Order: sequence, then structure tokens, then C-alpha cells
Amino acid sequence: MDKLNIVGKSSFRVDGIDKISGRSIYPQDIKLKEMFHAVTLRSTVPHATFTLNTEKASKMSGVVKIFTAHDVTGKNEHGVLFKDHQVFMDRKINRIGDPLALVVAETLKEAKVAMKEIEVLYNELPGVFCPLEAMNEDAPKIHGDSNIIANMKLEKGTVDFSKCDVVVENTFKVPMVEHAFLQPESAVSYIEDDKLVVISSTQYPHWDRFELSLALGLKEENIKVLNAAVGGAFGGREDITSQIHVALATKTLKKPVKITYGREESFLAHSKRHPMTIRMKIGALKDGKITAMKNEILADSGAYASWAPSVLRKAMTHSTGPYEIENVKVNAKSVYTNNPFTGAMRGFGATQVAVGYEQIIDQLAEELGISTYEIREKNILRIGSKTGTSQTMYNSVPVDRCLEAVKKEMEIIKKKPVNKDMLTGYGIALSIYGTGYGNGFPDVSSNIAKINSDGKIEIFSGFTEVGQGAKTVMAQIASEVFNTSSSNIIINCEDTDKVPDSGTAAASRQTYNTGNAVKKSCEKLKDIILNLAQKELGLNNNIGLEVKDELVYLRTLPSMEITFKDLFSKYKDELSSKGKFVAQTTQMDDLSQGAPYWPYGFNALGVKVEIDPATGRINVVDGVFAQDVGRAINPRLVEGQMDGGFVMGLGYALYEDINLVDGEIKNRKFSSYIIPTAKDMPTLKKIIIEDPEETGPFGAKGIGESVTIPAAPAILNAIYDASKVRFTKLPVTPIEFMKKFGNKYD
Amino acid sequence: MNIADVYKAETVKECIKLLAKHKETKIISGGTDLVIKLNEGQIEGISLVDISSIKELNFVKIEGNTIHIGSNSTFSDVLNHKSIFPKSIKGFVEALESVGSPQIRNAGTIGGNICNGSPAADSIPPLIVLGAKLTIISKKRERIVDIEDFFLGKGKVDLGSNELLKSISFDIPNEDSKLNFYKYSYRNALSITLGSVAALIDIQNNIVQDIKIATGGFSAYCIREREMEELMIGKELNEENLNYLLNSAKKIVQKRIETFPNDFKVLKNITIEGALRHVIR
Repeated sequence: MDKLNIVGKSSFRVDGIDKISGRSIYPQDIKLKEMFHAVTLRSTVPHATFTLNTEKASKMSGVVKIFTAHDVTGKNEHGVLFKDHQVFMDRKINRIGDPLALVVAETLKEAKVAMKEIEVLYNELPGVFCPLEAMNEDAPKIHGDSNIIANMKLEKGTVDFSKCDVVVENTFKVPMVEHAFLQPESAVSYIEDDKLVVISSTQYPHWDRFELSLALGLKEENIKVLNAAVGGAFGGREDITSQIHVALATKTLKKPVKITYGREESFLAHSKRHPMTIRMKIGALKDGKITAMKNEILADSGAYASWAPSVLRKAMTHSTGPYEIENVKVNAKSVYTNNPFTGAMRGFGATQVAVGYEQIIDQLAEELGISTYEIREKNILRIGSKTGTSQTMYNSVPVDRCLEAVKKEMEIIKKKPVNKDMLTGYGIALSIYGTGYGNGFPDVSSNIAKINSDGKIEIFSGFTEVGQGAKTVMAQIASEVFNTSSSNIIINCEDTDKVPDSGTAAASRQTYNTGNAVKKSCEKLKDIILNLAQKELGLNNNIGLEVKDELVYLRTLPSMEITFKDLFSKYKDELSSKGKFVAQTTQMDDLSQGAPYWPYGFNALGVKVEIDPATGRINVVDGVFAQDVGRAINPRLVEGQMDGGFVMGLGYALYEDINLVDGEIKNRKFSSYIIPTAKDMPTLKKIIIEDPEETGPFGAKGIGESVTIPAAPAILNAIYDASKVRFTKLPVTPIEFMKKFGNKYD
Repeated sequence: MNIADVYKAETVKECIKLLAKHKETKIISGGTDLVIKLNEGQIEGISLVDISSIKELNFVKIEGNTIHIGSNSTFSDVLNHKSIFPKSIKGFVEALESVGSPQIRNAGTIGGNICNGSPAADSIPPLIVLGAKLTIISKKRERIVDIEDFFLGKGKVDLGSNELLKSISFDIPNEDSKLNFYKYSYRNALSITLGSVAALIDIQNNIVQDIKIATGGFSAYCIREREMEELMIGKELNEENLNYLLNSAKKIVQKRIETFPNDFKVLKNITIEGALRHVIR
């Protein structure tokens, strides 16, 4: 590959100064003239039919209108895969937090006071909160005749454990957890030139526009979605929430309307990570070669489907980990309950199963009497290996390099002094993550590159900057093609009227998919520029013409040059080019064999934990993280993702659990829902492993989700090493640790 | 938020005048607890007396063998004097450092922490074992109360609606003593106390000559644990005696929470045992 000038450099974030100086505009910051304020009335019971009486409330001071299901102007439904959500409930409540009505008033205070005066009469129905019970024939049904949303199987070869020398099995339980993004949901809507404008913080403005058009009964071209700054997302902003309510209110009232959730409402409003029960059985020959694996997965989707089948598919196909196993059988189910609904969250099913496969492989190593490194070295995917779906790994499979890097550093970490008052343990984990929507679904990113009147390069693409650094990465890709500073690239991504659809900021797909589209459109635009320059400079051909800092020059005679600005003045309409990228995946067959995702990213993590034997307090005190990125477009952003992903996995392992009692989240505040703080984070040595992916932009792969997956299993393996207690249920709080350690409190 | 009025006092004199004149008031300084209660509607319709500008109540000084702390000193203000504190009150410093986050320590005051009467207040157990005295003033009189007697129930303290906590004073313990503190919590910052224990111990030749123990989170308010103390005084500090104390301490705590759910009882057993192990040393 040619020498790279911009790609591979840690350029400062395009949105960095605005974010740290407080200049970024979030929907919360927006105030418009004559703007109404809205609050949402939500159900307080998990399963019921109901009646509403809004008469008294609607006469309260300042109240403009109270919206209920009757006021929905289009179809009263929405949902990313199935339309099982309602804008406002009209028949039956399925969970605590279902939206019943929207109070729109002149002031926020008036809206809140009036909401208390709405009378809700519930006729409660029996609820079901356990996914296992939800599959019983006589269980209360949430939607339709069956609570089973998806029932999938995967079969490769023939699983026969009698042929194995060693077999181990275990059942792992991972909890429902919260995305805990810092900025709660907020949206503002208004009318501009007969067009409905909705400002929100979303992961996918074009999808929001589509869902709004159905629910409001408007054409998509009559709606404009503007994406404001987004304060974290992690999958929690994929299902539409507040924006659909303000849009409906503005459409009806023809006035600006704003809504902002507090933290408690945010906990109620958006999806959660699927809790799963994962039963695993794995067998190997004496020499450590794994030959058979059988997994069963049961996921709780809560009251709505959201991405249930897609999350389940990812969990199922990733449940064999980054290992080549000849014989595999998996059964996976996802079911409705009256719990909060679950959906997309960083790792999308692949995070849950890693807690199982990375622990059971350690158990297997112990049974075989070999090291946790050796068992992995013997079974990891390499070039030419086939995954559990029989997909061929043909390039960029640096699992071995990740493992080697961690092994080397862990030897150094193990030589450091230990605290004698503490139990000390070391653990490692590997992970695999397949990028994209997958399974043959058209995963498309579109992009336009243009030269503007100042001679600057402008990129138009509907990706979203959710904090992951997409704006900076796209600018770097464009600037690499045009040999100019990334600060000279103008990125447009917020306005659905101006930019083409580039899909969700999800599935770790933006760098790979949209990055490819940006690169394509820029390369095409560069060709156009060279040809026009040849014409203007009166040359015989375009050989030896180069671009640099928004001008074209002849390498052999640099004084022969023309600026982009001069070209624009003459060829304005020609200086534009489209790029489109569609990822190559195939739909799997009935036994889930096929090539469902591409590319795959890998990593390895090693940690040192200290456990206080008196209290069970567990601290991760040291660690090394090796991450495969294909090629790092921006190394500092990659390291930021590695720290952020790790700390999210740390919370999963040690602190976080949505505490449900009959479908109610009891800890919907940050004082009671415990996430890690900076003081709980170890200094992590980060190693970027580069092994360019042939189909990636400059060889890059996405890493946004991959980075969170190995944290929990590595920590759990280290806890086992320290205490000889195998924890199969997360999180391992000090209390849970003490209950099992020494069996003193059972 | 629903507040009737806000009065701002610049001096102690102004403050006690305002308190005498207006009923149904709450004193506010850092507001780290009160503002949350107001926002959540747990407290409504009252008036606030803002004492955050009263400079004469913001001080830390050592006079002779006694340390005096003004009630309006923030946790950070007190911690800024860390270097002049003797080693024997290390546990008091650790307790203040364990409060919330830098932002909370910059806003919250030691007076507020005491007057809230929370069973989980971090600064109180060390102050109890130090035998701190509270100076309380009203328009009519000034009085001194032992901190141990100040707490009456969960969130209830011996402070009239016309009274203001002025200062906290305690004697520096003798050089042979050390003050240990342990806060049992889920994470390393911004953490609510599951249970905390402070112990002021004098150990000579591995014999516990004297010990004072106070706990937070094991009763309706922070209390001195005399029953636990008596089990250790004069005893050799060994595993057998420590285990006897731990088992007895669990029984003492369990008696107070007989009617609570089982999970809560297990939690308290684990936390009292773990925290005591950390301070009896």
C-alpha cells in the first residue's frame, strides 16, 4: 500500500473543541419562540387494559392539548423490525413505562402539574416476568398467540461428546443492563416552510424520518430530521422515543414543542441489554483440540421485539468464540415478557455469549491440565479456518498476534509486586465480533463528495457522530485521498434534507461501510478533478498530475498548477461525485450455515484483579488490551474506544444489574444503578494490532463494540484465579462474592 | 421545585434572627442533599435560609489540644488542612476523602452532613469516636451537645427550628491511639455507604488498652457501639478474640433489623464483619 499521510495519525477530533468547551448544541440547549413543553404520562403497571380520563387535566392552567392514541394522525405503531410499539397505547399495556398520553402546555411546570390530574384506571392482567415461564402454553401472552419471537438453530457437523476425551459444561446468566449514556433523550420540533422539522439526538436520522412519516401520516419529503450533538448512544437510541411525540404535537398544533426526559424517565424509555441464560457444553481431545460444542441460549426481549431476532442471531453465531470447532450445535430463543424491552447494546448479543465461551474454555484447560494460553493457541481461528457457520476466514485474522501480545505483557504484569492483604488473580479473554447488519440484509452507505465555491472538499453523508469519532474518521479518509489536512474537509451529516442515507451508527459499521463510501466518492471526485485540470492546463493526458492542499499540479513542472477554486468557477456542476458501498454478506440456510457478517474483528485482554478477602471488594488493578483494527485510521480514537469499551465491560462484570421486581426497574437513578467511575479504572496498556482488511477503507475495520466484549470474561477468569470460585452469574458484587467465597453466608 | 422564600444570611447574627422570625425553614449551604429532595418534591413549600456566605463559620483551627471546625466548612476546606492534622486522626481524613466526588466535596459542608442525620453520613462515625462536641446557637442561647446525643432518629436531630450548628470541636487523641475508618461501598468514588465503621484504638503489646467504635448504616442513625467495645477492651488482639467480636457484632446488628428481609440481613452481616476487620488492627 502507498505511504499514508493522514490515515494512521491521531488527528484532533473534529468535534473535540466544541465538546470540551460546552459549545456543542444538544436538543436540551434549544429554546424557540412560543415553544410549548411536553411531558409523557407512562404506565405504572406492567400488564393491563386501561381507561384514561383527561377532562380535568385538560382544563388546567396553561394546558394546550393532551394527546392520546386517538390523536395519532398516521398509523399508531413503530418499531425497528416489527411494528409492535405504539405511539400511545390504545389497547393494552405491556410494560411499566408504556406511553399513555402527552401533556402539552405553555410551561414545563404547568405540563407536569396537569399530568398528575389525568386519571388512569387500570384493569390489571396477570404478567409474566420469567422468559422460561413465558414459553409455557398457559402463560399470559404479550402480543399474539405465542411469546416466542425467534427460535433459531445452528448445526455444523455432528456433535457427539462420546468421542471427546474431556467434556465440561456450565450455565451462565448475564443480567439486563442499561446503556447509561450521559445525555438523556430530548427533542424539539417546529414547522419551517410547511415542513415538519424534528431535532433530536439519534443514531439514525433517516430511519427516524421514515418512522415519523408512518406514524404521522406525512410524506418523508415533508419531514426534516436534524441530528443535534449526541451524548452517547451505545444502541439505546435506535428505537424511536421522544421525537415521535413532539413531532405529532407540532404537526397538530403548528407550534414548536420540546420534550426532555429526566434520568428516571430515560431508564424507562429506551431499550436495555438482553439478559440471557446461556448453557454451554464443550468437548476436546487429550491434546487440547476442541471438537464439539453445544449451546443453548434463552434471551428475554421484554415487552417489545426491537432487534430481538438480530441480537439472537449474533449471539448464536458468535457463541463458538474466535475458535475453529468442527462440530457445533446451537439452539437459541428470544421471548416476550412484561419486563422492560431489550434491544441493541454495544456487542449486540456477542457480548453476552463471550461471558460463557471464554470461561468454559478456561474450565476446559484446567480439566486438560494445560495453560489458558495453550488451549487458545490450539483452537483459535487462523487464515483458512472456518467459523461455526462455516464461513472462511481468508484475510486479516490476527487472533494469534493479539494473544501473543497479551501473553508477553502479562508475564511482565505477573512479575510486579502483589499486595499481601489481597487475593490476587490473573485472567485473559479473547473475543470475536462480526461487523454489520449481516445475514444478507442490504447494508448500504451512501455518500456525496463535492468541491464548494471556496475550493474546499465537502462530504455529505447521513452517518451520525455519537461520540465514537465518525466525523473525524471520515474527514481523515477524505483528506488522505486529497492529500490535504483533515481540518480542511467540511463534513455534513446532520440534516436529512442535505445528506444521503448512510445507515445506522450501529453494528460497528460506520468506519467500514461509510468509510468505504466516502473513499469511493472522493477517489471518483479526484479523477474528475484531474481530468478537468488536464483540460484547463492543456496537457496531453493526466499522467503525473497530483493533488495537494486543494490544488492540482504537474509533478514534473510544479509551477503548472490550478486550484480547486478556479476549477469550481468554471466547472461547478461537474465537481460532484457519489459513492455507495454495500457490505457483502449472505443469508444463512436453515441450519445457520453461511457467511453472515464481514469483516470480523478480534482482540485479547489480560487483567490483574485484587480481591479484599474481608469484604469481597474487587478491583481490576492492571491490564493489557490488544485490539485488531485492520488499520487504525486514528490511533488515539482507537485507544479511547478501548478504554471506554473496557470500562463498560467492567461495569457488566462487577456492578451493573437492572433490578427488576415484577417488571419494575427499582434502581433507575445513577445513585442506585452503579456504573464504574474513573477511580475504578486501571491503567490499561493498549496495543493496536494492524493487519489490513482487504475490503476496508485503507484496511480499516470497525471496533466500537468489539472493545467491550472481552472485559467481563477476563475479569471473571481472574476472579477464579484469585479465589478458585467460578462465578457464572453477573455481576459479581462484593456481597455476591462473599456469599460464595468460603460459603459463610449461604 | 416548590419553595416559599429564600433568605440570605451574611453573618451568624443575621441567621439566628431570620431563624427566630420565620417558621418552617430549612438551612441550606452546599445543598448537595437538600436540592435533590426539593427537586424530587420530597420537601415542598418551605423557606430556605442560605448560610453559604457566612464566612465566620468557615474555619479549621487547632487551639491547644483541640481542633475546631466551622460548620460551614466544605469537605474540601477541611481536607485542605490535612497537613496540620496529627496522624492519630487519619481515619477522620479518610472518611472525608471518601465522600462522593471532588464536586460534592467542594459543595457539601461538614455541618450539613451532621444536621442531615443520615445513617450513612461519612463524617459522623469518626467524630463520634473522637467524642466531638457541637456548638449550637439560637437567638436566646448557645449550648454544647455531645455529637453522640445529637441524633434522635433517621433524619432526626436535636436541633430546634430556631437553632444553627456553629462548630464542631474535638480533642486530639493521645499519641498511642490511632483512628481507623472503613467505608463499605460498591465502587471507589461517588458511592453510597453500605456500612461504615470508625474505631479509635490504643493497642499496647498487642493488648487492646482502650477502644471506641462507632458505626454508620447499621442503625437508624450513626451510633457508638459500646457493647462491641467492651468485648475487646483488655483483650489480646488475636484471630480468636477478633472472631468472637465479629460474631457478636453480627448478632448485635441482626437484633436491630429483625423485621427486615433476609437479603438485607445477609448484606448487613457481610458489611459489619468486613468493615470491622478493617478497623480493628
